[in-house]
Amino acid sequence: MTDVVSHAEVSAVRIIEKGRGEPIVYLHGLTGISEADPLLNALATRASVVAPVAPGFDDPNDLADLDDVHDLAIYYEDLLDAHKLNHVTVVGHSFGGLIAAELAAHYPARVSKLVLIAPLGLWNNALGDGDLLGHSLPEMPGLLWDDPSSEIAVAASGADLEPAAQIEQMIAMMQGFAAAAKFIWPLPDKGLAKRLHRITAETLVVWGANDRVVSAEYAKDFTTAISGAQTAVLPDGGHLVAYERSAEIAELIGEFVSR
Amino acid sequence: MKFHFFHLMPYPELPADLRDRYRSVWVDLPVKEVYDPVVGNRAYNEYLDELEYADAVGFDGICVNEHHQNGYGGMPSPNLMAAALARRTSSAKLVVLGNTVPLYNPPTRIAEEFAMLDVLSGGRLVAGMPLGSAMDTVYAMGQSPTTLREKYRESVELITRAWKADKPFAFNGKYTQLRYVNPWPRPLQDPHPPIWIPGTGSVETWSWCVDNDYLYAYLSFFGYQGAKKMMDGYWEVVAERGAEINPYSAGFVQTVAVADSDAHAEDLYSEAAAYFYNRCLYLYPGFVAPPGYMSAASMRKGIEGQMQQAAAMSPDLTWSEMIERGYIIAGHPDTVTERLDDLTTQLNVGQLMVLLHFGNLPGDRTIDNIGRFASEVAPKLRSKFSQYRDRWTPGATRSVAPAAVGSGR
Repeated sequence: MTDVVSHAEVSAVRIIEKGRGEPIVYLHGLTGISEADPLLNALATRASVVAPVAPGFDDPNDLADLDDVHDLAIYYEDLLDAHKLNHVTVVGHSFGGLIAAELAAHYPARVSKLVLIAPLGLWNNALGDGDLLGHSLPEMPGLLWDDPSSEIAVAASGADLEPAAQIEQMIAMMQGFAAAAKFIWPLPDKGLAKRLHRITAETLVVWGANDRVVSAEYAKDFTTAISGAQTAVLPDGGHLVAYERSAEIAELIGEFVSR
Repeated sequence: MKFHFFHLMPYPELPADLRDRYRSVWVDLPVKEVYDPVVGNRAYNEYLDELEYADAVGFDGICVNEHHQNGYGGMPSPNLMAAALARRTSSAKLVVLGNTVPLYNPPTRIAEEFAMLDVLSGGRLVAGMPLGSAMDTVYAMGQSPTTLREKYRESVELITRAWKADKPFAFNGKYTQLRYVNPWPRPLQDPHPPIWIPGTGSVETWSWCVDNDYLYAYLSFFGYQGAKKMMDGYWEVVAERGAEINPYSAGFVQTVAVADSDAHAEDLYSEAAAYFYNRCLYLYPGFVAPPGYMSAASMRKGIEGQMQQAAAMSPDLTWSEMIERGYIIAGHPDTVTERLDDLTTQLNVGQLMVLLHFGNLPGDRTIDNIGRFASEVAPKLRSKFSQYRDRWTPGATRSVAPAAVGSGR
């Protein structure tokens, strides 16, 4: 299979498109997305992946008119319109999972199948969470990765970059987290709990067993509220399970979509 | 030169093993475990005595400020303290530095309360309007770091417009919508008290202050050598925009300790200084700079706010290191005078805010420090910058009413 890579400017949104086949919309997590994204590439071997960069990750000014999760859901529906994706599989990881869930709850008819990988968006008093904003930079890898000393975590840390490039990487990361913070602070449930029942898409919830941001126990809160939703909890996965276990997750998604 | 006595009102009995038992003096230090209201009662009253004494011995201003959920600064509502001081002092300006703007809903509450203080005090108010620390705004009060600055700017615009408008108006903001903006009372100073902006280490603040004629105050507890980079940045922007290079448009906070000799200062003050730096400024790094709080431009410039510096500070700071680095200016009045002369020249700052109480400094030593500063240091520097006109402190107090009943001391 040949990779088809293109960048499209749809209402100033940077979109990475890759692969061939049935379309899958992939909404990235807190650390943004690049063409090297492992889940993007794993999915692209079996589908035509449309991966928009979430507003604010490239440029904070893109958030100016997106004040809440309702604006965000409308923004993503516009994006589906622009790509003529009337009824499509949507995969979202972490903050992207929140967006995917809100999109499917606001516009149930637009989402055929829904895959939520360690999604944000709910708050359970008994479970709490790891507080994404309440950590210093050096503590972040330990919060986000199952094993911060793994090859993939070390490569992502930018430790071997030049100092100036490190600052730019830090600014990019802060920018992405700030964009997410607009929709998850101080607590991430902005009404999703009362909207989840509207979701009609067949739903798969995927979690890393060792997620220290949002515990895998939250899977139950999603599957209880979304009719017929299934769960897959992967061992050796942290909050960035979409990177740590990308091949297995792509496999699970492939199977789920073709059913 | 203008001299303002700055009080943080810290909690004076933070446990000695604070750093072992807790991760931060701010945000999540458990109030039930650490705060004793009986100690608080004594501290508040002593601290107000000290501020009143500073008025009696001739300080130009007395400063209070706002912080939340912490042992570092004990005034979640500085306006309450300023109200108490308005009645018990008669000539010092009331520098409220300030009301943390994003935390007042709607922001016209600041227009109202500041106007109340200005009217009550006979026009002695300085209206400080900070963005607020991340600990206060984001972590303690749940504000979004992403929109904090935008909300702040919009709110300051609303407050100043409310003070200047001739007629009630509607305000259709992104963060505040009001049908009728018409806050009562209006300030005694016309159209409003001078506005001071304590900078948190953001380069965007400089041009905003210059363009609006706000005083820019850099609050650092890490000495004037380190602050020079910030103040030079400010003065560059003043020059670029063709505004007057006037030292009175800039403020700086300095911890000062006056004694008989430089060695005597160590005996008197080193314990309180260690308490201040090791306990009051014991900050969890995860609470000082959340994503979105600092702009990309500030991060590229390598600028750090005072709280980031505090969080990165070594816990084993010695007295001589504090002196060497200028964190504290201490010693014989001549030593103190000489260093403050150098500081105000280097930074070109005409509004000097002095922290003469710090950490757990006992009341009698604080009173002594205030008295000696007023009589043995301030007079020698008083005439500095007299060629400039100070448009940033309130003018002569209006004799509209006796400002105080049985005034102070």
